[in-house]
Amino acid sequence: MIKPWKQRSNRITFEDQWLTVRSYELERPDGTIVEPFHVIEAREWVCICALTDDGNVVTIREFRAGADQVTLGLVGGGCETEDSDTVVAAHRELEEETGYRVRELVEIGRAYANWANQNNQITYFLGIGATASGQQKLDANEEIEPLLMPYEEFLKYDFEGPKQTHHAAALFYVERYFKAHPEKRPK
Amino acid sequence: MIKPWKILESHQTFRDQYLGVRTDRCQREDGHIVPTYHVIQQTPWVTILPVTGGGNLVLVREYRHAAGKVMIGLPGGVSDPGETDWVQVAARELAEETGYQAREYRAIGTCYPNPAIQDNELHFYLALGCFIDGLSTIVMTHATGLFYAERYFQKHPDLRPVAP
Repeated sequence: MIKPWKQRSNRITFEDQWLTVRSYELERPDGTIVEPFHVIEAREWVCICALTDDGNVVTIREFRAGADQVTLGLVGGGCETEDSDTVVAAHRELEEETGYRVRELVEIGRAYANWANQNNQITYFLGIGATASGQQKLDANEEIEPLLMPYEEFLKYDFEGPKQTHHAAALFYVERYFKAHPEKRPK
Repeated sequence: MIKPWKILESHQTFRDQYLGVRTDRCQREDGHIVPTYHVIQQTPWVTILPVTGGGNLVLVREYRHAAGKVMIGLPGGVSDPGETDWVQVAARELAEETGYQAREYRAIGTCYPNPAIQDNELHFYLALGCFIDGLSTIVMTHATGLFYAERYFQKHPDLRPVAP
């Protein structure tokens, strides 16, 4: 039976306002020492699949420096300290990044972003009744172009260009939700 | 129209055998300077959905230190630098982590785990006809892999595992 490893010590290996890496010295139950084990510390993330009543998904085009490419994907981001919960964060991220608001926001799943070496989870939301009734408000380093795409098209997840693991996971959770609540699926 | 950023300067902020952090100074198309942008450098990852002839998924239980918990999930791992034969990586990781072998591998999807700040891709493989003697299996989820597996089974219903 697998047991948690014991933490002997840890230190911050790297830290600035954008990134924190904590490095651990760990001891396995059999006595083996694992050192260093780096963990990237991150805040809770949210990922939102926002749908309009006529069956479009609100996607965004953005340059992503990790992939070094312009990407097409769902709305998402990290929770801010002033967000009281993930629902507030999801509403805020959606409006800030796209100018869209939703009538209803349903939590459809939660999973670790990368449980091997990152400590945060992602909460997945389905947004229902999205309309362009808000105001896009980007941070200084953000550059985002919202665009609507038929949900059925996005669900194929085979468009040209790079794909994002969390967005494919979001589609899994959305489809699982629609299976349980078929009346919610946009016509 | 969104355009890629130009990298004006780039330096290696941190590097050991496990983790690299590259820090760039970038310029956007509109001239705006992004002064400090960290990119986490990782080699490509492979995740496997191993299906047995009996219709079970082969899963692994592992202590995941970032989460601080023992977790159940799909087998998978990191490629070695320069490695590009993902089936070989998949077969190696499956064998190392579970002891199972597969009759055949199908590529079912590739995506970035986090294109915002991490530079590697993740390749998903469906491993068909997995076999080993004397081990039981358990069934659980790994959401992205399930999305790709379902999409693949919808196109190839004959491959969908059925319980005996």
